[in-house]
Amino acid sequence: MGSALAYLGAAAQIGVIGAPLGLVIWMSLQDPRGQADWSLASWRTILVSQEAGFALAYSAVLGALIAALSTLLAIPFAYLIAVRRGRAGRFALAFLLMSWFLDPGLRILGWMQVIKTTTLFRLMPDALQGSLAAELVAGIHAWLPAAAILLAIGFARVPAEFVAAARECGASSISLMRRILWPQSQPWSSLVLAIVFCGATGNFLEPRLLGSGMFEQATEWLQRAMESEVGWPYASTMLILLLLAATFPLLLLVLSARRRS
Amino acid sequence: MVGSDARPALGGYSATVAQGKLLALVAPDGNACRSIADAMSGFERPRHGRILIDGKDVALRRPGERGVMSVRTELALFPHFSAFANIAFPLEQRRLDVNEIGRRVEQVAADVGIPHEALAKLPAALSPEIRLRVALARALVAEPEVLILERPLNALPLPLRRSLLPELRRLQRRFAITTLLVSDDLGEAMTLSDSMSVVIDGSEVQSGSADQIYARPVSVAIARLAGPCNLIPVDVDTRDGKTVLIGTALRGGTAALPRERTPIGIESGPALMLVRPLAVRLFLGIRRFDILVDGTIADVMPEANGARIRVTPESFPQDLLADIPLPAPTPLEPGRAVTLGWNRGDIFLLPVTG
Repeated sequence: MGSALAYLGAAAQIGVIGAPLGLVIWMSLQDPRGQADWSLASWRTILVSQEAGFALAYSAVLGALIAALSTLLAIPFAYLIAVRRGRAGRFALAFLLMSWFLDPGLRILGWMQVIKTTTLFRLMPDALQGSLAAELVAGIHAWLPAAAILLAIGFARVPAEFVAAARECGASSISLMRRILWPQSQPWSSLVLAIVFCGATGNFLEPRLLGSGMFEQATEWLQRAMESEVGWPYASTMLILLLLAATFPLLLLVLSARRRS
Repeated sequence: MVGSDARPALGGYSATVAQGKLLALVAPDGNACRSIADAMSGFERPRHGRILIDGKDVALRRPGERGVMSVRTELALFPHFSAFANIAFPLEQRRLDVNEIGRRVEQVAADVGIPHEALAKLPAALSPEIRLRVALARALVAEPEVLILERPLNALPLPLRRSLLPELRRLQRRFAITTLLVSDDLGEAMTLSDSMSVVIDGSEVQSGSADQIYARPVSVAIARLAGPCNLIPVDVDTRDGKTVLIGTALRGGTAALPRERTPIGIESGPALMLVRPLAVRLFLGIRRFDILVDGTIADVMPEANGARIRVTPESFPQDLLADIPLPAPTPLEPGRAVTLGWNRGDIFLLPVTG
């Protein structure tokens, strides 16, 4: 019974993840006229394209920055939820859960409307609009709730007696975090970083809403290719490359875990 | 008061521990032990009352600001730190000089009996005994005013617990640190403490020295907590200023008891005669005993310093335990008829209730 369920699960995984991925790979092997093109023309074009390379690199850098800053900013919230608890912790948990489940695109659109219709818009430096900083803020805003809640789960898994012992030894909150909670919640905390990186690298809506203009991100490149009637093999290729780039840290984590074990 | 109104861990309790002494607070309920230790360490706020250390009320101070360190059952050694780093942790939080930290850690580790080579190892690579010593060293290196020991040996195997009890006592005396032992094991507390309180359902039921509690418990519950015991039903009467025991358990039917072996309140009526297995001997017709009971050996259990026998008496249905030093004067085997004897000085009377 158990093995039958496992096979069923594996089949479902193939259906949900494998089939669309296979379709995208198949589409990347088509030429723009719909004929099978086994010369991998779109792959060669993109791999040698400086523009596509920059777009991918820019997405990865932005993803890494968003992951690092979101996780860093999420630490106090996670600490409040998992360690301090109490009324403030419960409130933070409720607020972050609500924010997480409310679509980040809707939140960003809402904030844009608020900023545009208030004096905030006039106070904001012109250089901030449509800049890297704007995308960074939007990315952090989008990923902070998820990062905080996932980190809190990791911190809550640290045995309470370690926290109590550290506090009894006179550890401050920062020391407790740096010396006990963060190391003890590994590799969970690294997994949170990787998850945020994966998501942030593949951000689709934010670049469209706040695109920097100076640097095109991989998702913008993808969008542009898809909008062109003949560009979808290139879009599929870029999608696969983006997927590989985004999940690269997860691959590293798995490899390092295997090496440790 | 500590704990909830519905189930207080400690209520209406007051005790003073003299500088450098060890007070044992024994609560059979493990949760109550944890609550009391948490309240002392600052992880649980007492609902009423004060906690005074050196005359200052610390009940509202945070953990780490009270001068209290504890060693709990779990030991809570940080698994990613070496033994050295674990011991050094409290000193690092005080931002002491690195050389000073090294010197103090080496010193306390030597005092506590941690081998030098163990200092570089992670806790998982240490034996349970050394782990306990590291936890003690981490608590002691901070030079706290009060050390809390909350069931510190409970996670250890029984033989190790027995062998470490004198060592814990030695260390407590060596460091002359004021210590509160919170335990659910009265026997352990009796070995370690200068004085003790027994707390049941949040209230103190008896306090005094270990000897007093062992020999003169106020209730059956405490008598049992203090160790194996024989509780024999008797009737009590007072004649000519003496307490007289009347019971089928007694050869001849009666026995007079010194007044000091009878707690106040037991003048007449049913009572329980407490006699510890250690005081019960085999009667071979040579030594004189005040009380004799005939019976048959039901079980023989080897012990560290002898054998514990369970004897089914002829005159009443309750089995008796006796600790017999080896070599025994007569072969100890199930089914053998024996006569057990003990003296009036070894008896203590208990009320039937409680």
